[in-house]
Amino acid sequence: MELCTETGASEFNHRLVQHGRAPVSMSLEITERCNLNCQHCYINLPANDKAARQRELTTAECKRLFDELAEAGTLWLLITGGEIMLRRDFEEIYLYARNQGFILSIYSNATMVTPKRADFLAMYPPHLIEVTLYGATAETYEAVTRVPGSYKKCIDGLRLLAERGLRVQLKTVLLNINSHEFLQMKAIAAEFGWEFRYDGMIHPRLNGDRTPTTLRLSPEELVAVEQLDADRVEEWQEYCDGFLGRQAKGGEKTFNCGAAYQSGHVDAYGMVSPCMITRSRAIDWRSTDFDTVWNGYLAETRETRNTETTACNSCEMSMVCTNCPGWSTLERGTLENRPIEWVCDSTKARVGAFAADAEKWLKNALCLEVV
Amino acid sequence: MLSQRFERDPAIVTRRIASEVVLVPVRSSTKAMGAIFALNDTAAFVWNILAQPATIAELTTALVDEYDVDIAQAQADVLELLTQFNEAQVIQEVV
Repeated sequence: MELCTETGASEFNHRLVQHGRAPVSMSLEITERCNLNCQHCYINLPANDKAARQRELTTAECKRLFDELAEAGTLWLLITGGEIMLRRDFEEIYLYARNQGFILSIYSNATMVTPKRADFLAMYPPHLIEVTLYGATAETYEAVTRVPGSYKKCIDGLRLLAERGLRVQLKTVLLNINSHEFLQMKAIAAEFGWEFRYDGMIHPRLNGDRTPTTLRLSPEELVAVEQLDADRVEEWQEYCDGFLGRQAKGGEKTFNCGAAYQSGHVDAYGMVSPCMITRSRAIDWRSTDFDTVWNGYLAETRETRNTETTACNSCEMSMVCTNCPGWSTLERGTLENRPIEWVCDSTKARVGAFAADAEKWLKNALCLEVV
Repeated sequence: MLSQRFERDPAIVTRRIASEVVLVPVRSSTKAMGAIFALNDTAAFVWNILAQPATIAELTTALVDEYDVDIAQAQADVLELLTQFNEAQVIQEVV
């Protein structure tokens, strides 16, 4: 018997890739509604949005979806939102998924964690709970969430999870209104004994609203924060060493990631898409079944070919760039990679800061020559 | 010892992912919630039998019949597997 522990998970997944295309890792949004009102959020709707609630997948539909995902071979399942604990049937949905034998992760803001809810999670623990911390002080946290009192609720919720020994990862989004507390947020995670991750790549809302992009750090500010983190510096250095000059994104295929190959996403209304942000290519699961969706429409989507050569296709830095079909869809209205000024600039700032031969790569930069 | 009976812990869900057999614990009482237990062919064969209580002798006989190995080797394999299953807390002894 081979026993794969936590550290062996990536090796296990790599082995699964050899078996070919399968929905090994899926995510499900059970609601877009949230009790917070974060300025940067790409999806949130008000908690009391009745129209949204009425459209959401029912408990029975969630269970049918889980049955079909289990049958299709999904192992890793993320349940996310919105705020997942807004749903009155959260525990029923969660437990059904749990008993199907998925390795479950959940995303929550932790503000709705009560002792009873924490006890439930301790009884049936997920593989991982990821909680976003929007600041290290009430002032900053609530400047992001726009809900007075939410910082204390979050910290109280985190304590309840910690007291029960649940496995939590804290994370944050780096914004121009909270990044000054980056190190303090990292320290809070360390105090709890939890891992901490962060991301500063802020994209527009899924409905096209660009308001979140006004909260972006400048590329230089983003890199300056990353330079405070020795682990991140090392990761970027290794990444630049390994991938600069490679042109995997320059091939004919539009998708070069795991989207619609090993993973996919289901939104709160049953629309299945290649990933969380590539939603222009989504299909209604409710009227059919997951096998039909995965092996039909998503299989065809996965095979999408680029129709023209763009600056991204020939950019030597494309493999260290975060641009992808999802980003291009949100920013440029096409699945095919197109230069996005802030993303290009962030890539160049990172290469400048972390690559061994930065000048060589930057001299050849094509990103913004064709826009 | 050969008459000891074992069965799967009911808190373990068996998943077939691609051609892999994977065991997933579903309750906190079981070990290592973050672990993945992926079984090779022999382990999957024995695990399948353990859906019902089985003795070491019965498992050994089944292995001999399936894999054309001698009894000594089969018994050693069964004991090794049961040790690993036990350490992973995915089986229980039936008393």
